[in-house]
Amino acid sequence: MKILVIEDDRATADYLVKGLKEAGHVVDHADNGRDGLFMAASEPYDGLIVDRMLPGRDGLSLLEVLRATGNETPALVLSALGSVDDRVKGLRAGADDYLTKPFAFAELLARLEVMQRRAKGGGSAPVTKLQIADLEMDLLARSVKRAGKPVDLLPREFQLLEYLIRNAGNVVTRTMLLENVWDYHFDPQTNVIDVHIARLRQKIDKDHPVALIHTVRGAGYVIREPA
Amino acid sequence: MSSVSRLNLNFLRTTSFRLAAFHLGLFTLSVMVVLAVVYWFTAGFINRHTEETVLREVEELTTALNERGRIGLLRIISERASDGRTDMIYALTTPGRDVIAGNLANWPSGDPGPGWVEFDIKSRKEPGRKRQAVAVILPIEGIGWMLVGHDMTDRYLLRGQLLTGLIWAVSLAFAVGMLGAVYMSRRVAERIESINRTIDRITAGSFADRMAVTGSGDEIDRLVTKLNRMLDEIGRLMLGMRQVTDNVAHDLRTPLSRLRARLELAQLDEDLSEAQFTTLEQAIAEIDRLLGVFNAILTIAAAETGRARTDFEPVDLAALAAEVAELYTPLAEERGLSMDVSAPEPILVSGSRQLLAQLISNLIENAVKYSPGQGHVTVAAGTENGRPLLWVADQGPGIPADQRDKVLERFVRLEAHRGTPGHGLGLSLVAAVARLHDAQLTLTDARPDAAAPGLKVELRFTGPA
Repeated sequence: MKILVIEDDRATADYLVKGLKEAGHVVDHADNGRDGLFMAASEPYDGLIVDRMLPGRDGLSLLEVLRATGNETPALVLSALGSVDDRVKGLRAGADDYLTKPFAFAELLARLEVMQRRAKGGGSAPVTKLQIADLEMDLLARSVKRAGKPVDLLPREFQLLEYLIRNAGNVVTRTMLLENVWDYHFDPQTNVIDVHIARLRQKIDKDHPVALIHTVRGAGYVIREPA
Repeated sequence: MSSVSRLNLNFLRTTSFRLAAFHLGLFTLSVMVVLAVVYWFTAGFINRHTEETVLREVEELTTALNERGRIGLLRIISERASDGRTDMIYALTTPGRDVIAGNLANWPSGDPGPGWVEFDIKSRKEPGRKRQAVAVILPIEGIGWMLVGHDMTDRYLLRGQLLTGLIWAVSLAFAVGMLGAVYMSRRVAERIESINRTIDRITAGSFADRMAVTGSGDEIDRLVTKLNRMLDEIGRLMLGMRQVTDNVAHDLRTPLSRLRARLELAQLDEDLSEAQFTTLEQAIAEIDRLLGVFNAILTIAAAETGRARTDFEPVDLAALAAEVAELYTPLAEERGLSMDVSAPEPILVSGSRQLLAQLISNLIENAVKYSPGQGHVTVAAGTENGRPLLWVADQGPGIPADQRDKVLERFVRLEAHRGTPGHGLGLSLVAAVARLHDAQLTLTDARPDAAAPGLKVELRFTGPA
């Protein structure tokens, strides 16, 4: 992927550029809003990482201008402001995701990839059935089958599985699960999410030779087709 | 009623009343002394005047006896005694006390010898009414006895009225002084009481409250002004301390996240051994814990500034409680606890969904953490007198009553919990979010009589449900 990082803090920018390159992306960097807007508008990128507070032009107005010109490049806004109000403003300005500083790089990477996937898959008809390997999910009937056998899931487990499958192949972090499945934007002190995943695994993977849900060390979870 | 009478009598135990009562006592005593002196002089004057009159009369009569003989004396006495207006009493008797001349109705009872005598006489004008007299009795050679006295009734009446008047004066002075003392001390007591009430409110948490200054510029006003200034100063220091922690949290977050980033980048290195990778992972986990502390501090700070009120929206407290409880149910069950949720009806409050969720989550996390295995954690949302009420109870060791205020402070952890993970900010955050929502936070025993009383945290919202 080709990614543009618009970030004025030198250390954060270096770390982002280095990390993204290590993760196999092509990265450009702008250290102010004006240059950032120019680069984002003149070159095709697969994703933008925009700091909210920028010299020249702030991140939100940069996004508003881009969106107004019809540029739909998926964008992730970074901000030191973490209140719900700030988040809502960010998303309203045209951001696809919002990440509060300080963030874990794994978190950023996971979100970037999920965002990317969503952008590519966007516009298609609404799905009513999801499938991965021999696991089938009927979103209308709210039923799940593994290898043809029905699996009984609680409503929240169903949502959890749906989110995993919709992002199959991509790592989803605990924070992403908490935000997208429960709509909570805070970090619990305990490993609540892990326990929920463990329960889901019990129901999905336990009696089957091939596990679908995998733990990614230091990042989160992923559901993927067996190799 | 009882509170009213208690309030009314409270001033009796005040310093100002005691002072006033002491001064009233001194004042009354000095008035009594002055009036006693007045009385003593007046009464003494009356007595001396009577004695002088009687003695002068005796002198005149003795002179008459010496000059004009017994007949002369007899005539003078008869003459003087027959004057109906006189207050003087005369009697001339035989040695056997038979009255020869005079206006004495009856000889003094007890048959006194020569000298001064005080006695009652029967009034001839108003029979039945007792009159008092003072007289001197002296022997007259060749006749018998002579008694010269003075009717004291009117003078004694005057003396009695003077005494009554003086007693009234003292009583009135005492009564007026007492009223003044009560009024003054109640006024002072009320002001002190209002100061006490304000201090109670301040210690109960509404730190912005200040004591009222009446503007009279008296010593209480000056004291109150200084106390208020002291409170401002304490507030400023508290704010300063908070700002320091907030700033530390804020400023350390950036280098910490860079450090975290470096470690994360180092982890991407393919050549790392398993041990090295694990070390990096543990270091990152440590940093995450630190960042968790700082984030908690900053969330508390944000809640305390009230800025988060801009996020307020109608929130269904019951649904939220049930939802957060559901999030923690698997965790609780894994520890052998059961999660009992009672939130039957929607309860709307105006608030921040995220912060309230975090509040409930902190309470449940604590409940799960401190409960022994095989217990219950109860999460309930309902109404009490039409006001929304949320509570979370556990069956853990509870918190001793004297430490409940303390655990709401930042970084305070009870000695007994030092060994368990946590940073001592969970309940501080709960307290800050409760304050932001104008909700009253109460910590009580969940089961007051049990060996492990458990902790029940109640949150009462002030707005209607």
